Amino acid sequence: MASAPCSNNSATCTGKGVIPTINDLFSEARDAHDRFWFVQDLNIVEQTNATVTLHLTIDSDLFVQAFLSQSSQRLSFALIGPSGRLYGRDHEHGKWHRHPFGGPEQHESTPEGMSARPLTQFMAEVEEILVEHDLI
Amino acid sequence: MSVATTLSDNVVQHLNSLSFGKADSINDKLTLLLEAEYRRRLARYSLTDRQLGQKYQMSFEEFERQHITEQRGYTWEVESDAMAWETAVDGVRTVQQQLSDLHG
Repeated sequence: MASAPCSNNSATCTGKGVIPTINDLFSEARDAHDRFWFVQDLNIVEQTNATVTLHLTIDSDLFVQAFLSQSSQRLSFALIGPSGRLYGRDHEHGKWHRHPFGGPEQHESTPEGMSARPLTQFMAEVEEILVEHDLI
Repeated sequence: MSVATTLSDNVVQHLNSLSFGKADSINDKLTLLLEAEYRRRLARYSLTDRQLGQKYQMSFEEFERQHITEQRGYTWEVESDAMAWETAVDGVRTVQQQLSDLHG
């Protein structure tokens, strides 16, 4: 699907959500570190010219991984525990899908995409999961 | 262009005592250390690219063109591989540029 520039020139709109730039994602991650009580640490795991992988640590065996490629517009969020992905949302090849908590091996199309601050939305969803399932 | 920076006595001692062939100045030694780190990263990215190419029997471009993640049901394994592979492919380009910039 062709991407069109957003009005604020800082991100790419897919028509089904907004794909941030690497700088936007850093900014959101720093905000998430401050805003979400369960985030203990923020680390840049890997960065190249067009990609970045961030980890937001929740505890010793639980963290959120955010991956962005500005060139392919792949954007991936995952809540990761000892057994692997527990919950996730991904944007690949112009389409969004979700891996539900309790069945992360499944995927369901989410044509509504995500909000203009997708990491913040994902962290709010993670907060609900952590509290509801007593994971923290 | 040059900028002034401060190194601890300990770091300076280590740099002075480490032999680097023809590199005598601390600036030359730090340049060699940076080059070594870039080459280590280049080797790691190249290895990842090669290993994933063998695993899927195709290039990353082909992996993307064929939407392999979708074909394989968006499993955590294939999505993790896609992220690692894309990082590696762009990492090779990034480090090659960094090495070129380092040597002006």
